[in-house]
Amino acid sequence: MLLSLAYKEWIKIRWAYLVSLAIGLGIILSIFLNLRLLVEFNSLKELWNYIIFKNYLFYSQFRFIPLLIGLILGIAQFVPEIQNLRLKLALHLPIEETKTLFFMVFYGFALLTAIFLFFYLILVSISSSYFPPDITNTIFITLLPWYTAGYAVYFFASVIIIEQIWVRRISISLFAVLLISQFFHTMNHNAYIKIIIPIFLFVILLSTLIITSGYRFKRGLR
Amino acid sequence: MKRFSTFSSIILIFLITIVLSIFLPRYYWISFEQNVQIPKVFFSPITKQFIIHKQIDKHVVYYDETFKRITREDFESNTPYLNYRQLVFRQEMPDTILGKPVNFQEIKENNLFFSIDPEDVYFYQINLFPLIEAKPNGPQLISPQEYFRVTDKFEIFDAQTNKINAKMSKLFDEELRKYGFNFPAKNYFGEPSTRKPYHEGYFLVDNSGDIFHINRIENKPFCKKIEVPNDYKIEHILVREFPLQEFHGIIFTKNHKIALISYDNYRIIELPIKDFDLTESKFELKGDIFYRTISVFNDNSVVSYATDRNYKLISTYTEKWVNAKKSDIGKIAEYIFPFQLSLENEKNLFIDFYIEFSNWNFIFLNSILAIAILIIRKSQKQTSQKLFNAVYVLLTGIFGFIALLVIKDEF
Repeated sequence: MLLSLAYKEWIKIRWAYLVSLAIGLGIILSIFLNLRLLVEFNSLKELWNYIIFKNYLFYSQFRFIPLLIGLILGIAQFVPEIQNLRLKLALHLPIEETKTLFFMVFYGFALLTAIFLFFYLILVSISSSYFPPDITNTIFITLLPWYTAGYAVYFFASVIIIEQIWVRRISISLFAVLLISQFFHTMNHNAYIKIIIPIFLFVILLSTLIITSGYRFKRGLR
Repeated sequence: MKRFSTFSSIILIFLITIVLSIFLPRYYWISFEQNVQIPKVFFSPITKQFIIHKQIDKHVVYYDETFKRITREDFESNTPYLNYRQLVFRQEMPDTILGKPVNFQEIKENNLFFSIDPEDVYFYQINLFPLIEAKPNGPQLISPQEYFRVTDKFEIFDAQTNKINAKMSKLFDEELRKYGFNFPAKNYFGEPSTRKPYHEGYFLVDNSGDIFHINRIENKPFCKKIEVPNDYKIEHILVREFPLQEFHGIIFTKNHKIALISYDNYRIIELPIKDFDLTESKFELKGDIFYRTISVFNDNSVVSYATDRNYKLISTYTEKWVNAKKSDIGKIAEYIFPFQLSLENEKNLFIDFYIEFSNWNFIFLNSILAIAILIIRKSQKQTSQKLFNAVYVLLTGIFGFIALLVIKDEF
């Protein structure tokens, strides 16, 4: 049964997923070309200096991409569910409703993780051909707040879309925007190193929010 | 499903509470905070007193250490080394000061000014530093292609090829080992720029806490172990290259002492300053031909020390002010907010949970809001939820109150 559910989720989001992949790869290509140009017209040693002492992030263009991808995936996966109240069907499957909803968000979470990991590995491989490990090693923690923002926006999208009452939709959206803005405070290397792991774990907890919206949906709160 | 729904409602309430505890205080301060003007303190070689200037109501005022107002002209005449250009312009520059004939080159060379803020020190540093040649083949320092790090060995990367320069690494590694360097380096201090009169090199703290001065001179390693008093645990070493070349750097210790590493064979000169905490305060050193003025800026005070050129204390000056937290605006905030959360702090560049708890003044508002939520939610049947609401608002005050107004879920 779960396998068919997975297939249903894939049918909904496959195009959005490919578009996300294309957007991400496009930005990474642009980052790479920009890097090539910088090295060609300046010198690699100047670039090292800029990165180490001026906090230049050569991949800063990538900053809002995880956010965008999280949003695209969330919309693609959950908007079809509320058209003609299709979610009702899913909640009537012979699986526990909580399990169905959790399966849906974790499916999206897994796909997001796959695409985020893929982009991370490309960035690391580009970086390690130009820069020493000390620089490349900072990419992970520097990216993590942006990725966390991507997960957060995805979880919030699921809650907000399934929610049927507009006032509540708007108020949750407002707090979602305020929370997500906190992931973009600075562009210094590893600035979030002290708190990003607890924040990431907290954002994973947001995956449970879909249950409230699902429960309200089931009870027919419109 | 209902059980899970309760759990996720609580998460949502908690989340809104956190977001509000960041944004409500932030907008409160943006709306009401007033600028506190910090005085600038100088020591006059003429009057042998401190003179100060600061802005009051958008105007600069000048006064002496007894708070007597003086004119800007008096201020300039009493700080002739600092304001020599202005005095020359006014044709009032004396020929001799304290019996010493005026020599502009000498004045320029001896005028020192630099400061260090916690924010300059506490951030994530990638430990990879340019190995600048201290004796270049020309008048200017050249940005090198060699970058070093000191892990379990001394490693030099070539920034053109992104590969390790094995030959040069070995040369430096052997030199450091000869001097007893205990790998890896715990801290690196130095000024990696090439826009300066000369290159001092770097100070490394090794794994046993000893300080080593290293440099690259004519492509060869220079290394020297520096002897410091036993109780010195290094917090930071400030390196600034000035033409005067009086000291290699300034040591800030973990037990709040400050000392210069002098050019006199690395002799340590402890400054007559008590309890300087670099994580909290700003340090500033000004100097002229005769005197040094060292100022320590805290959140609500400045303490300035005037010394002679041997750093013997001559006089001190303290001025206090009411900082934002202790102002009326800050006191009102303590009645409204039980705590204030921020992810940023002016004392360092790390994002962290900077939480400030108010003293107990907030309990009035919290109690009123707790009663209010019971009245507003009186239709809720469950006693457990009523209890939750009341206790939650009592603890989180206005933040939790608004969160519970937004999320009306019953559980």
